[in-house]
Amino acid sequence: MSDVARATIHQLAPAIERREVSPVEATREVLDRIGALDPQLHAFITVWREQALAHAKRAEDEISMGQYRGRLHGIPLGIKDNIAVAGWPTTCGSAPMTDQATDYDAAVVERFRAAGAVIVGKCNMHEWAMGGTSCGGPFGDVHNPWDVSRIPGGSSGGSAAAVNASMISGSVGTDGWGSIRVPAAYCGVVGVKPTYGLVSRFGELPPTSSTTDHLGPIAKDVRDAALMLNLLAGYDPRDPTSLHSTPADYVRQIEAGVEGLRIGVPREFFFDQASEEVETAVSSAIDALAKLGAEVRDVPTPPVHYMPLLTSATANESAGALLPFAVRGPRSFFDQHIWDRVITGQFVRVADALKAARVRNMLRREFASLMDEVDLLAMPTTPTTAPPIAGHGDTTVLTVAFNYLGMPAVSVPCGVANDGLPVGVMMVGRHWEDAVVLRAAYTVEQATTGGYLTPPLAESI
Amino acid sequence: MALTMESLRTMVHEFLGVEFDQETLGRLLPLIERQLERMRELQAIDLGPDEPRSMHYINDLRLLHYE
Repeated sequence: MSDVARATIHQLAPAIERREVSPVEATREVLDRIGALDPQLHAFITVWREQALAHAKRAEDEISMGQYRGRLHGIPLGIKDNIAVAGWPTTCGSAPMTDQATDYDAAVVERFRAAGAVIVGKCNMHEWAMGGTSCGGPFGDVHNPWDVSRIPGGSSGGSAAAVNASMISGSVGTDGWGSIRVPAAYCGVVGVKPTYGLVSRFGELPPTSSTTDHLGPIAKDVRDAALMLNLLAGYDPRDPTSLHSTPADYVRQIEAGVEGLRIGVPREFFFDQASEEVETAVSSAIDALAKLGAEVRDVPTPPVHYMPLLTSATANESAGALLPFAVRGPRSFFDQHIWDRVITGQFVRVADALKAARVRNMLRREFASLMDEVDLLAMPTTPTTAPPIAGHGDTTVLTVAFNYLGMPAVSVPCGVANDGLPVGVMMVGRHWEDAVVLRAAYTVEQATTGGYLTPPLAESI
Repeated sequence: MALTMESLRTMVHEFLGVEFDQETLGRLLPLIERQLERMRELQAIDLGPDEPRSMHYINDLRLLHYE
């Protein structure tokens, strides 16, 4: 792998600014990597080579004329394929959507374009974002770059696989139950689910869940994720779930360390379900935080074991958007599992939805009390490393609660297990304290992996 | 009361306005039984005595962030 392909955004950007690397060269490099690796990984649904190279040329011309726009100028990025890019198909991973194109950009895409980033492709995903594997869909199973017999996780599996294999420098995913963090953990990259309302969802195509979906960056390392979040964060009146927030520089704060931060470890539930090697890697990462000055202690776990009941009562919101197609459209519109979920989700009474709302509020209060005592929580992102494509359990069991709570959560790689697959640790913080979460994630990263983990497959090209 | 193929057929017709074939209903039956069981478990969660702080149904984080 060339140095240009391997580079993180924060390494590549200064070279582009100094005109030592041209955006056209960087874009051509990743396009060539996509050509070589994607037949195995199926990480992309659409790649638009000519348009990407034209945008890269424009960036190059601007930079040559002294009009450098900032750290994403000329950087090749991908977008999950349920996020609108004007004029490009946005399929949501579903075959009947193959020719559906919007005439507008999603807010996150607008921000990338304004920063001069180069969109090279739309990333493959779990069909309709309703699953945690990114396999079984019409655009091919996405494969994990660490072991192509394993799932990349989902639903933003194509984004995580592509970033990990250096087929793009970064991507934006969507996370309703864990769909950014789970693939980030399985593929050995950094995934950020920001505080609810921080990043605009304008241009995320249905089905969505209005109170649990979040958009956020998927990056090679924490500094890149912070850099992307700097650009993506901010109020957008076009998104009714967007919230006013105080502008923050997430990059500037990441080196502040963890000394004095109180980190709670909810062992019950979150560690009970972890495999031995995941528990070992995550516990080592937490020990490293303690050695660096964090006050680490075990804390009681709020009753998150109710989450399957909660999700069963509330998943009908996103399933409802697909109901007309489920009952009247062709069966090819969904795979069987999603069709079953859409239909089953209709058998929820109002009384159940209201009880679910009360349980959710109870959980919110319990976590709020817990976060009065600690600044952060640390736990595994997933119970195991990436499972085989042929068999997998509930991949989002450890992540979903924080979607319902809206708390910021980052998955960061903390090591490679004996099976040769990466392990992710999840850091969770108080609402609007995304900077603190990223700061702790950066500290974990520097104390464990040191940064971007490259799989052998990525090195081979 | 156990869910039967016939009662499921009626529910699907009344709720969704469609008719599914026997094979589809047979596949859905255990899934919907499981869904209904989960809802019974949900209703059984003890949230303690009813009092105003725990009785509201507001989940909108736009409101709750500013509590």
